[in-house]
Amino acid sequence: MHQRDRFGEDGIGPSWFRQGVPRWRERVRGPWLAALALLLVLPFLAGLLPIVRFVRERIDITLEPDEILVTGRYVYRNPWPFPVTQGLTVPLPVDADHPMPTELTVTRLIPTPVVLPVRTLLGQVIAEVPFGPNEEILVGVRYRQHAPTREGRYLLTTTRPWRRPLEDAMYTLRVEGVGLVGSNYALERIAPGSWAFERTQFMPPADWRFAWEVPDPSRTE
Amino acid sequence: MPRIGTMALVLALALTVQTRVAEANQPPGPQLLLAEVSLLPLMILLSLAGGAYAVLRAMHPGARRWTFLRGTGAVLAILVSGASGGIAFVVAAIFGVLALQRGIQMVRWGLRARASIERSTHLAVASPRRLLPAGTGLIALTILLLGMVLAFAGYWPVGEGPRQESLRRFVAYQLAVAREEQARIGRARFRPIEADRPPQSTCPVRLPAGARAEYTPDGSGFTVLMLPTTRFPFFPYNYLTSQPSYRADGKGKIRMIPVHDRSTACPANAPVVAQVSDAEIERMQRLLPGMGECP
Repeated sequence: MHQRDRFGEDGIGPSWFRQGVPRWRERVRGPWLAALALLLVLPFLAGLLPIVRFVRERIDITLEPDEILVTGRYVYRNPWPFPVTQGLTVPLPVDADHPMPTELTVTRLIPTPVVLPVRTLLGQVIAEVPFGPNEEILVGVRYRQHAPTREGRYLLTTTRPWRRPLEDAMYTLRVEGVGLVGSNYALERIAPGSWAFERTQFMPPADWRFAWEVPDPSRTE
Repeated sequence: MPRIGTMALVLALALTVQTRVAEANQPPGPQLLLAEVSLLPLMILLSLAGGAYAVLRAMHPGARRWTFLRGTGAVLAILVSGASGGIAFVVAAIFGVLALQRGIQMVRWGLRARASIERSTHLAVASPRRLLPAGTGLIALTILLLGMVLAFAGYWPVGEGPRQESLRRFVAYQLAVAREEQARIGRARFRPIEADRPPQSTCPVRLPAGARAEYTPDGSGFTVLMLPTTRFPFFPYNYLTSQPSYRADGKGKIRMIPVHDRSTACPANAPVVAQVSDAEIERMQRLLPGMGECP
């Protein structure tokens, strides 16, 4: 039987099959090539895979009677020989006992200090950081969070989407007029009122949880 | 439609629409770029769905609509636009115009194919049932995505952190003043400070931008409402974003709700996001003697 294929050519089956030679160019051309090429870059552009690398972090948390003050410093590295812009969401632990943090600032500290504007999109706080070729950038994030239940959480597991462990990570906890009650990561006392833990090649298995109490003045000796 | 191509397209589109912006610390990529990278797969998919490529091949039998160079060019344009929001904006506009052109073309082909019994050669393969909905859909979705690009291009609220600090300082000052008054005259009384201070005023405490204070007549209470100051993206894109609207009171409580326009005030029963502490009030009390005269 004689029929017309979808390219308007005579014969049975696609042209490359009929001709006996796999004309891959015929098959690969057109929209398919564009779609496949897009497929390669989309995971990066869509945020499923990071473009830059998250190398190090240092988190300093100050505990006050009903509040925590978080200061984070994050080092990112652009491994590519061309400039890129990396979008970053700022992980904020919000739940029934912990309202939205206030006084949030995101700052690029190195190479040149500049305040980075942030915008909320679909409930997530997002900043964009431009990187030069092979550039390493230090970003600082600072916020306060009301914590009337006197327990706090810092999101560590959000390192996982970066798909590589942190080369170095340091976490400190300082108390101001309160007493530390507990932490799910073992802490070492580094100074009066200050504790810390440090890791290398760190892929956090869990978020950091800690609790504190306000000493009862009537029980002071 | 070749199966591998179909799968690639579906996967590409799925990756685009499943952008996991919501995941914390997940680098989501610039929003302009997201709209931009969505435009091409969308155009390809709807062109295939509408049968536009068959019509194009019939119109230009010898021409290759997509060559290796064109495909590479498109990918390179996307990559380069990742370097800055400005380039992304231009590339998104170009992709948008191309997608709109294709959509309009498809609708025109569809209408002509439906209207004429004697079809021209290139419309012999056209199916109005496929071309019209796909073309209309492409136009509508392109307008939506381009609107997103336009709406968010310059939308970066600035100075929220310092404004919130300023509000907290204002409340701490008022509570410190009230304590001093309590000690002096036996009754807590706040000091009215308006947004616009007299030019000769040396008062270092001021209401943050976008805030207004209301005082009870006897000075025993006050409420500060602090509304967003940054202009929102135009409707309906303002509902994709939010800015905080605050309310502070004489008990030192600061409440907040996220809002989608600049006129929504925070209600009195909103969640408390901060409480000015005793330590802050005491620190402010120590500073009061050195402060200038406040009205």
